[in-house]
Amino acid sequence: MNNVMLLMTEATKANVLKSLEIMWKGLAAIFIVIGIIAVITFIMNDISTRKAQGKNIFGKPCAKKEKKEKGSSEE
Amino acid sequence: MDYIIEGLNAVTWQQLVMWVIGAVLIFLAIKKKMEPSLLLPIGFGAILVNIPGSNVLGENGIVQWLFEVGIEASEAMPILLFIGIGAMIDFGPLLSNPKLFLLGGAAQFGIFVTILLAALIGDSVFSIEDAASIGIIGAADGPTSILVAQTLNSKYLAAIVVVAYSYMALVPIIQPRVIKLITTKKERCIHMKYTNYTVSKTTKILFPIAVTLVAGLIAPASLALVGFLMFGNLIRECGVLDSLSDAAQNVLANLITLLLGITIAFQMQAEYFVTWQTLIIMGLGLFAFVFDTVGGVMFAKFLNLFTKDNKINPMVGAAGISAFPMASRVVQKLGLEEDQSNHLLMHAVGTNVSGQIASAIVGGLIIGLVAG
Repeated sequence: MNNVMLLMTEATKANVLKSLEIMWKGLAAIFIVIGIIAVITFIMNDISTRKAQGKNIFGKPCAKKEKKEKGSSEE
Repeated sequence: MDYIIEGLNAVTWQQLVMWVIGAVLIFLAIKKKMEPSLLLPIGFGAILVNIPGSNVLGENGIVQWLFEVGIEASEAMPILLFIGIGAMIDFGPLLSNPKLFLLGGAAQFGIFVTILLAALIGDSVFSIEDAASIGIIGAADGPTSILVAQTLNSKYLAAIVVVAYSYMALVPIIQPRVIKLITTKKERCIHMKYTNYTVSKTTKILFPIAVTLVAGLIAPASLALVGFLMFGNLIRECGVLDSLSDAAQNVLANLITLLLGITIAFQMQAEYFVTWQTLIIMGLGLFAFVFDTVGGVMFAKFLNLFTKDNKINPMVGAAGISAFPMASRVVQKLGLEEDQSNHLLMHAVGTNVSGQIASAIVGGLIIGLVAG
């Protein structure tokens, strides 16, 4: 690698270093963005699943549903 | 008579080469059905702008005007096309399995390796702006390639766009060979479970807003692409703008596509296009597509190291390049070739649309990293 770098002109060397910088920064940024979006999606899916089951985000029955259930048991 | 001979004498051999290239592109579009909506206008445009004394060029030339207004001034055409693309995409398969997002990100690997390779060729051939613009061919996404090459002021815009669209059309030929080379039969036979999970309407509406916010805050340079892609998708999913969604998917997308090809042809003037650099760009473009596929497949294998059951079929990773829907179809076809009961389409589509988002983000990131 060092020999290859020695054969390059200064401008090419600068370009190669810049492209390496683009590579690591670009890959890191894309995985951060994609990772955050994936987590947000997972959370949104989880909330809508719980909502469909009549539970709040902590997995406990929603107040409305609880009231309804209590009402029906009293009857 | 002299007038006719004068016109014929003015034709240079480079212009003749461009006529042949134009004819080949038209042939591929009509006979082989390779991206006909783009390659046919580009092919015809290549002939149109290479006729000596053509009045489509110059200060009052229509093609030059379209290029200056539609692409050079604001990159309006590729960005507006993203509204149509966004309106066409159903993110449902991706939202029901968010793990697939990672494969879309990994399949952008080829872009970065190609930038490095183009930079290694030397500053006398490609500047860093050119190298970055060539690398984005690996996004397998025409509008993103146009936007990046134009924003970075690359003189190889036409070659980059023609190569990008040509290889997108060649995905069914390129990808199966690469996939078979780096996967075993056992891996290709992995069955992936289907969940009957239905994504809620609220999630589908919130998703484009969330993506715009996250991409905008972390990679603001990608906002023009990602924002318009997500705007199109929001119109589709909101449920109250059906006629606008329909207009974006059909009228807007068709109109822009119709003009985009012939506008790009402005850059296909012989003196800019008939160079040996165009041949190198063709080679680098292929390299980008191959390494995108490798990136997606290898990342799926990497993820499998940490999962005991519900492993990912590595072929699905290859669908992370954004060529939609060809890449998903390739994966589905390969899956069925190995095992008639192995249906991978929905997983591949999920990864494919993830690649669409990822390539738009990467396009913006590269603009920010090179120009910034």
